[in-house]
Amino acid sequence: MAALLHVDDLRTYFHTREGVVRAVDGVSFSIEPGETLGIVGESGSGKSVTACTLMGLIPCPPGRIHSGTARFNGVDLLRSSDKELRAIRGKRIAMIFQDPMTALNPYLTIGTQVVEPLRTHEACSRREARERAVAALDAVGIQDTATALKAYPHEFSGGMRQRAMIASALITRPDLLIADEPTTALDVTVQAQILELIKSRQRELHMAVLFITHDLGVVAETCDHVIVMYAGRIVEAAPASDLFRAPRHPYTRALMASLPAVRGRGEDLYTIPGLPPDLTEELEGCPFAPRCEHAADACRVARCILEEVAPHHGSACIRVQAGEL
Amino acid sequence: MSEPILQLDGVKTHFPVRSRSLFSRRASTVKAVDGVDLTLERGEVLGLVGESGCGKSTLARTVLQLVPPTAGRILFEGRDLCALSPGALRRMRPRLQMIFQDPYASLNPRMTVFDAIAEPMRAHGLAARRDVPQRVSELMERVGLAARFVRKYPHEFSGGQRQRIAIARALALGPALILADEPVSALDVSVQAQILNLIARLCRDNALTLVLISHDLSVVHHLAHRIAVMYLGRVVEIGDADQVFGAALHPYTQALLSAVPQPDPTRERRRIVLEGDPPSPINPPSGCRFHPRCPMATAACAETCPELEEKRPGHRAACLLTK
Repeated sequence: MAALLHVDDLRTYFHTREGVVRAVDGVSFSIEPGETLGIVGESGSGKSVTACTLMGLIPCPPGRIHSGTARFNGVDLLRSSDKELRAIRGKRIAMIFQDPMTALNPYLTIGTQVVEPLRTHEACSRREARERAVAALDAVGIQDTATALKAYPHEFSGGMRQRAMIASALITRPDLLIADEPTTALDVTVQAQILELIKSRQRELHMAVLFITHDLGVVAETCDHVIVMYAGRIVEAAPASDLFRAPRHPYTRALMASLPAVRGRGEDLYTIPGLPPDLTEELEGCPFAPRCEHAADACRVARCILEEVAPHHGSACIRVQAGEL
Repeated sequence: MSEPILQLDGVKTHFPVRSRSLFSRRASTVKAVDGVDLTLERGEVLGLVGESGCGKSTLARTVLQLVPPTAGRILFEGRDLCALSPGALRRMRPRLQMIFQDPYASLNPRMTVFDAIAEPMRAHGLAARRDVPQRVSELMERVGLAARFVRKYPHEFSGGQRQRIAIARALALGPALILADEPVSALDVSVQAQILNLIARLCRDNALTLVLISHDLSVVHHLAHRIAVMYLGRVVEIGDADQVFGAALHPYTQALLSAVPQPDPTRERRRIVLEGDPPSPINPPSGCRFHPRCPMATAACAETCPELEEKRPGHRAACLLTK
């Protein structure tokens, strides 16, 4: 099957006064139609910058895309004209954000914001737009749609705002939804509602989802494939079931071991020593080597490249690749 | 059994809200905490969980007298904090300390680490001027910060390090009780583990009593001996951490536990998805406050308000349906 989106060797750097921050440094992946791909990583690992680069949301300057292609249905998102991009962004690719209070415009009614993509991308009469907005709000489980259309974002709770944002994103029936930490700001019970909602809308529209999160639990419950990012690079990529059953990179293993749920109560949690590297400095060798308990001398020198270590399972650890771990 | 360190008796904290329209001036009340009884033994770690708006932070602030309670008694080491004179309360303050969620907001950006940690000692006159530097470096060492950072400002530290500073400051006065309000929810998983280990170690070594407030159930389960679950201003279930986690009695706790995403895709899921949002604490539902969202509610639930009752030894729940 042809990939819906194929990203190859993407590098997004920020040129700041402190130096060049290599926020995304050589990232490649693809998404099949209808698939859910998760990107996990801690803050500063480059997961959001990857998504924002695809959507053309990187402020430039200071940001600059140094290399890479992102082919979406054959169109390179990084090299297209604004006009070509406008036909794709917000129509074929939609994005939802972590904080629906800042992502929605407080001055505009929910109705205006839900129909906005339609009025921008489709020649659609006012009446038809309204009908489709009602259907879209209905589909995300907002009752009393007539009132909701006239309401302002502040009148909604966090969960309701996220529903409204999803309704607006999906009204053009996109092929790909980029969800950047969509449930991080929500309570667990509301998070469960929103995750179920995204999954059911995904099935109905047969759309692919790029799901960005720091929460391994959310990944396990939503994603087919998972990419683990660290310091702007992909350290591991695998089907979700394989990743959680048998992680093949020391960073992924350390991350899972530090979750409170996995150890017995009262025992000390596993901790990763040190801090993530400073991305303004040229990293030699494996970016995780200084914090890795399995690091060998070779890890600090050799450039680590993601290689398949098991069927469909990539790891960038040279010791795993050599079969030592 | 020894005297409890903290005892709450029917504590209520209500906030008046005025809705001012042209023709009417109706006052209504947000019942943030609405009748909470709790007892804490010395050296115990109590986890307080619930969704946003359930009143868990307000309860902590009420205990510290940062907001005055509307009703009820708060006995700390046998003395009612609400009845103390301002001077007596001030002398009591070193015994009760708080750690806040956001170490970016709770530290003054214009104070060095030294000043931030020394300030409580100076304010309470608990260390002679010449002993302060020594005490500060001891405290920094206890929380795992190098003493050479003492002249740095908060912005030069990472989130985890800032939380360590906040913990050092809370420890500076030798408290008996610490209330930690979401101490790790602003941190990444790997840093969160470091801070949780630190808090656990400090509690063990210093026989501290800790109230750990968090919306993250796995964090609470990891540290707490007992867990109290709050919903709309009330405790709906309280018991041993393993009892509450392993055999939750209240339908709300069951739903809350089932909603936590698990890092194991093979786990068979029986998720109870609750409908809607928690209702407003201005106008809470009649009877059991959870009944409009409860998957098991009966007609009686809408009428009778269940009291917190002992259903199993040491395990209490406020539900008409659980036996």
